[in-house]
Amino acid sequence: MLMDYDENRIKRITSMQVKLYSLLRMKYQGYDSEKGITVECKEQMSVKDVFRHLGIDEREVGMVVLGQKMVRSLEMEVHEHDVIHLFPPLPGGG
Amino acid sequence: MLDKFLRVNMTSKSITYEDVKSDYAFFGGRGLIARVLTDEIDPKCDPLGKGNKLIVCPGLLTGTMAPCSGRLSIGAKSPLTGTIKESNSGGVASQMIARLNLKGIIIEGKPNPGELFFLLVRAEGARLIPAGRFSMMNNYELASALQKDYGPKIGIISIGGAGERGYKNSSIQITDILGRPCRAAGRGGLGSVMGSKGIKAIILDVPQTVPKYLDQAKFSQAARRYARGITEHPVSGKGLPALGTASLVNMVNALGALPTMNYKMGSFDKAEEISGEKLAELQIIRGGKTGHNCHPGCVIKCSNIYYDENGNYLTSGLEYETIALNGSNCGISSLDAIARIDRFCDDFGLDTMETGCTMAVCMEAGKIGFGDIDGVFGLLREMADGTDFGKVLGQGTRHVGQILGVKRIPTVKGQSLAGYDPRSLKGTGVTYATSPMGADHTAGNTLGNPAVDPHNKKGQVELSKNTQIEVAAFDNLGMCHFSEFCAADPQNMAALVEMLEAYLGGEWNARRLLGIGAQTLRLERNFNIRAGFTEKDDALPEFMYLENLPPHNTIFDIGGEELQKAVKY
Repeated sequence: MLMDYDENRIKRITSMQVKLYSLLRMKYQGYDSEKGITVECKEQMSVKDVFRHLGIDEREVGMVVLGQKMVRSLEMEVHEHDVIHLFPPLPGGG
Repeated sequence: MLDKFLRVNMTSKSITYEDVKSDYAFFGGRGLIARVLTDEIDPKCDPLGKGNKLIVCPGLLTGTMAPCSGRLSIGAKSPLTGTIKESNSGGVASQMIARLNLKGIIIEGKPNPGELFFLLVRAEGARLIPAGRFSMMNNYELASALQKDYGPKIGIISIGGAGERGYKNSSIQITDILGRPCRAAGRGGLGSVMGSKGIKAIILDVPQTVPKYLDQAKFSQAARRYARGITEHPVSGKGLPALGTASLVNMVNALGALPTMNYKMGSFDKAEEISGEKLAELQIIRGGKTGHNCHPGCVIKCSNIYYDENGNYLTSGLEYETIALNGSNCGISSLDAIARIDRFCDDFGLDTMETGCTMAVCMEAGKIGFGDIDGVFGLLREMADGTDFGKVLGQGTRHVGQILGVKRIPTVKGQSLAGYDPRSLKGTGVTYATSPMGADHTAGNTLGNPAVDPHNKKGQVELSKNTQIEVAAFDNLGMCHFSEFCAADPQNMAALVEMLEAYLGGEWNARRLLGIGAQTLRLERNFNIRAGFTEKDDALPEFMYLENLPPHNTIFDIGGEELQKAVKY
């Protein structure tokens, strides 16, 4: 699941971590819940770009959490060492 | 339309069937409870005295082909909160009561001390059967004994030892489709009200019947459309059926709102170990099940059956609230231990939520340590044995906290908070503070709403008010809250409206349906005011306003006047 990157443009390999839950996790055979999925960062990479990279349709995601804050816009940029959590649509209750 | 009440007077032991008054026609479930209690009891009455009444009733659409419409409402004045109370459950009983053409069962009066009965309800009539020899029997053993005597197809509504002991955190348990007493009307200590009436169990032995529709073809067509709406919705059709409510553990943890160590923190470093994902992983190996329905006719199937490490049945319906409050909130990271606590609570008849918060308060006081599973079971056994401290534990979180000198007691109107820290889920915090039920997740949980930032106060009051009205409307219908999400689509709302018209008659629209929710809340609030509650009682515990919640350092910052806007239903 490594992202293509242009060595001439990005000198240093930077990466971030994506954690998947519930149905999204089930899509990835052998998913490791501790490590998540490592994604190499490109400059000005957005949450939406991460979806695209992982082959996840926006409609499959109900909530994105970055740094324990709910992400309100999928255009938000991601950075090195970020951990983003992707949840399918879920309600409250029990 | 259901048009009879079954009224059982435990003072005189009289049983009567009476016609439902015409102005009760459009009250069902929670709304019917609000109306009957308003009309028939003194709000200042002793909850465990002669003047209180226990009402058990289906919703307006229960018994029909409407999907997810088999939820049961049980209500009374609560001994835990002193407020009006409706507690809502799955299981088989609601549809059975509807099949008897009963709008509700009203149990009133009080028997002589020591008297205990079963209320056997059949199509040909109801009668009281002495049940003294079953006294202090717990729910699982009781269900097996009754199924042996009355057949495997009966529905049972029963109390365990906790309800008989008068514990204010006692539940009423309802059998599920497999005959297990694992569905709970848990909140508010209603088990003790049933115990005070001398009723050990209501046994429902009911034949299959077909409800009387005004227009069956129209209803059937609309029901199919609404069922499709539920199963095509991303939450009720995909997210929930996958792992059930337990899948919220990781999500609420990621938001920093997972109660941890008696609401000291909003995230738990071992959340993954008690998550829905972990639960599913264990149950696939052990032979348990996710995707289990809590009542017949449910098309969502968000519940589960939990098997232990030896591959034997342990409990069912191990839901998010139980996991959060007995897990992270107690510093416990063993799903098997939480499942054993759940089984104990279902069997002895305790609210798992109140129990989890009570244990965490005991941990805060140093009575036992955080994460001490043996310590928890020691305290649970004290409750079962009825030791002096066991009886104190049975009074609920607020009393236990006060007796142990704990300053951080997570209750509103005497009822413990649910599995969401209100400082990082502020809309639900508004609901905790203002709901006539006391702190409760089923009264209007705002989790998952993408339009409002859960950490920010902006928009929370309006969101909470609207959610409280919506869920109260669905509680009138006898429909599961999770079947409500798809109604935001006008085509699905049209199908719901058509069902109401084809079964109840008259003209319906979304506004009239929501009006039923608002009317219910107004009745409940007025009841509480007459019981002595004021605006000052609409508040979260003080520490939630003063103490920052890690990791976001949020506090609850929605106060008096602003909060009161949430009760202008």
